Amino acid sequence: MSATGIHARSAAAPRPRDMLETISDDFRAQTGKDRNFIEPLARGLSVLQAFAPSNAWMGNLDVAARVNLPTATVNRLLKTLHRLGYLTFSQQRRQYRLSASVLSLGYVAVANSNVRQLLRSHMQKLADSLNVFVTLGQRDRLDIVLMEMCHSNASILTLRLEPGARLPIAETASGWALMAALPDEERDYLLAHIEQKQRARWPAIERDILRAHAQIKRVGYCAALGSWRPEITTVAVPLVPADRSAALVLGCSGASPYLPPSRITQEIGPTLVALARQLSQELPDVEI
Amino acid sequence: MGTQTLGRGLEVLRAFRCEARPLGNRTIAERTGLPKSTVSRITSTLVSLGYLHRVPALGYYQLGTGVLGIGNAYLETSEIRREAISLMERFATRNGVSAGLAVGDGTDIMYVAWCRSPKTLTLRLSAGSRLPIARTAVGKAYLWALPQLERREAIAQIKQEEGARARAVMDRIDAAFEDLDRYGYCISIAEYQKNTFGIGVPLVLDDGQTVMALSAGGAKLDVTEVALRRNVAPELVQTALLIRAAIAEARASES
Repeated sequence: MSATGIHARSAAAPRPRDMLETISDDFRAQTGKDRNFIEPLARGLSVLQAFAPSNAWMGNLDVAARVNLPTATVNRLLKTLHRLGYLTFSQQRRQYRLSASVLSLGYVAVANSNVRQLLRSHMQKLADSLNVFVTLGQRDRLDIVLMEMCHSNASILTLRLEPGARLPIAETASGWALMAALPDEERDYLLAHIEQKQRARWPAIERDILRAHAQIKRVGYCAALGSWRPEITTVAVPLVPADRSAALVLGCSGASPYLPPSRITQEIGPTLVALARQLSQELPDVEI
Repeated sequence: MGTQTLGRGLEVLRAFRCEARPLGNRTIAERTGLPKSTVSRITSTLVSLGYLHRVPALGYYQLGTGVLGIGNAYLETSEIRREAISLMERFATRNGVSAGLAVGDGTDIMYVAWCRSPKTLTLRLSAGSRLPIARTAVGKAYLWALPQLERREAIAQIKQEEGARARAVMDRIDAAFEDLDRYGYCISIAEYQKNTFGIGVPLVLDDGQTVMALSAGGAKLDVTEVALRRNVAPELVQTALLIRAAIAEARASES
């Protein structure tokens, strides 16, 4: 499998800053007034998000281009974030970069939560016993953000994905499975968004989503045979904690020849569904 | 008004500290010192942006994954971290201890890199973990290396936070500074937590513009202070020198 190709795909996935504007606009349109929505906070966070691993140092204009805001606004936000210690400024380069203080914005809590520790042990067992790559994802706007991943100890093959990697929700098995777990209203809202963004490709995307959701209804999981990358097959199952807090998604991926349909229906699919059912009962006890 | 609002919003994310526990608006208000009405506007904004999730049954908030992306972007782009990690790993393996690279954040010292010791009994820390500056060897090494003015400010803040205990805490800081002056490291044993030890060594980079500190730590069941001072501490000092040289070289080839 082409590891670099996969990595490139995840990097090309839509980043939140693209979504930020539309979603916050819609949010305000929905609520009728923006009384409660704090624009400077949304903008400040979008500036921090703009510093992707691929471009560590950025000047005023680079950031402005990425977040779609006037340069004067961006300049003010950068100065504020620098003064607050979240950005470092280089006199020589006349550019900014993220500073270590961004780790204090809850990073450790998310990176090391008890839920994740519990899930990690189950995921590792699954990866080893099925000899697959196992991922845990959560929704962030129109993306699935991978929070955790385990590769099989028996295999030297792995997907080059790091925690925090993003997959498009509409075009991956993990995305389809997670959407299936959302309340109807939220899912319709999301689908309307995707349709608006994709337009030309929408009929094909919609067909895949409907097929996946029918499969989940029937057997509890959905499979994508090479739809994300031709050489990768993924099986995914929604994971909804019993207290109905934020839905998660478990996925198993592997090189397509190792995951033929017979193995998916007989082994991988049922195993994933059983694990998701067990975990959904255990999850709330761990967290609270 | 905008800049203050942004800072306050980020304070709400910081209020979650290192815990994964969901928090209510009231707890967040207590921790940040912000009025509850302000907090509830901020949490509702953070929910609509995906940085927080609402746990419906409780009306509490939980951190979302937005913060994960920003944190990872920092970790992946920090070349100091990249240069330091392999040297830290070698040090950790050879000495059977954990090794950390940390930087100050308020009155806390925050790890930006953490190499676990090969032993089973190890400290449960990771990149992003925070410990008090005043009560850890790594924090004191950082404090010692700060430029005079910044150091004075930090000490004033620590004294204020420690209140009645300030005197005892300052005595320990003075003792650590003496060690740092003389040997280039300081040691604390069972100070922050029982049965643990820590060694701190300052790491000053970019002609004094970047101040960080290295730490070695572990369980204090199997080592004596004499052994730490004879073997582990000098090697940590040596590791700091190697890291500084590696970073200087990387900087030189970059420009």
